[in-house]
Amino acid sequence: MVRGTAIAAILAALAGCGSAKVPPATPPSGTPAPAASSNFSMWGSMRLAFFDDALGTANPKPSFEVTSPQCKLLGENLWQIEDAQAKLYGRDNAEHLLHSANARFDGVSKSATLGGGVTLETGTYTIEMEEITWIDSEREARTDHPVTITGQGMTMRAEGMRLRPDPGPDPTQYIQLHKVQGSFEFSGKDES
Amino acid sequence: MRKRQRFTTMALALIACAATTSAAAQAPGASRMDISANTSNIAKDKAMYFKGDVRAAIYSEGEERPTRIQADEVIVASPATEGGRPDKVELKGNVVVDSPQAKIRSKYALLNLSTNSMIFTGDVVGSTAEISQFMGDKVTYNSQTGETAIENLRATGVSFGKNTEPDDKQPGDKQPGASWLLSTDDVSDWPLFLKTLHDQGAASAPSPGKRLMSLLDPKQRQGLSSLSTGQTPPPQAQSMVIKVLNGLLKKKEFYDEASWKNVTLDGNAQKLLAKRSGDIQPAETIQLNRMLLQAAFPQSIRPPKP
Repeated sequence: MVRGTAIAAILAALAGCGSAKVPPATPPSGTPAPAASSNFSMWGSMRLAFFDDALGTANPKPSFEVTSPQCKLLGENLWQIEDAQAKLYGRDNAEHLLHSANARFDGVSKSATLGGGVTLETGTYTIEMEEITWIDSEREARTDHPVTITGQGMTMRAEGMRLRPDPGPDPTQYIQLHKVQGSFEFSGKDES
Repeated sequence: MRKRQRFTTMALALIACAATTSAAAQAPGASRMDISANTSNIAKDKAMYFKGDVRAAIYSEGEERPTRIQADEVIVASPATEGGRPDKVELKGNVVVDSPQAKIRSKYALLNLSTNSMIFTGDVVGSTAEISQFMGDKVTYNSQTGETAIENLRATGVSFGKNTEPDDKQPGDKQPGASWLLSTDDVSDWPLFLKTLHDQGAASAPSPGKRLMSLLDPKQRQGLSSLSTGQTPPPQAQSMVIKVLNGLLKKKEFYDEASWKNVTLDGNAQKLLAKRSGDIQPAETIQLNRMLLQAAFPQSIRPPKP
């Protein structure tokens, strides 16, 4: 547990040297009170990541990482991120790209929530939603907000989604949609 | 039993011909599918699995309404190429496909969008406008060609009542021309009728039989030619022949002067014939053509009932 939390800590930061800012008088609602040592914001190329525990420490690989030009440390390993670019890594080396207006990276619970409008590019699909949460211990991204999936001649809307980069023995568990409705175009030019 | 099955299969082929000729000419293919379900899983190979109250509607160009689908599970598969559109739709469990041509239930069905074919297997039960119920082990239907193949067919309740109403219904006239359309009872001698039709069709000289055969599309012609001329066909095949003939009775181009030059027409037929080039009503066209048919085959086609 200690190792997991440690691994979930900040991998790299301050490539463009961060500068401290005066913290707000009141922390954002719903967040824990920041530790005295973390009351600062940083600008520069930030990169925060969770590592895949299953691969051990000899050959560490990230399972999720997020980069941002601006982030703010809210508490112990709790980061508020603006203009987030994130990646989910499958164990088959597949990469799933996410972009969101903001994100919150929790190095303690090993979870990250992207919000403010999220776009997820996975394979040939583009998935748009308001918010999505990556839970590293379950290696699953989930949202209970409406999602729209486009690609492969399809436009599909659903009331919620689960995405597992590594679906395991049942390959159909890759993306799960709840209450789905949409259409497929069978004719016309391929999108490739 | 085997012969009966062959006849019935042929009859169903005729149904398909009659029902889909116009649509086939427009080369319809499924262009879009709307779908809803309680859950959908997407696999890494891009296949989508829809489960729970799955309902879908497939739209094809030229079809008056979509084909409606229900199943326990629907799987939409796409080719491996990136961006490739779906090419197969698999239906599993309690499959119901309600198309403009037929309503079919089965345990499993596969729609191949590349070939525009649909295969039903597992306790296949269906119905069309003409057959109240047919059953088979496997039904293959091609929406583009209209071809239907049924393995181990059993059919019951063949009806032709719906086909006796012409397309030209007018206010105040419940069934204009309907009484002039044929029923199976109007053919008094099936072997003779089929033999005359076959012989005239094969001869080089113009004749009513040759004219009728020339107005059929190739599949209808092939179906009629495949009927044995030496015996009365089974009821299902008779119904299909009547359906095809009634289709011809609605055609303005039914009459050809050279083909009927050796046929004696009564006064009523001649009056309608004179009106043919002018303002003839669709019902009158059916009436005229029925008179022309009866005059051409007096030994095998009965006069219309009063």
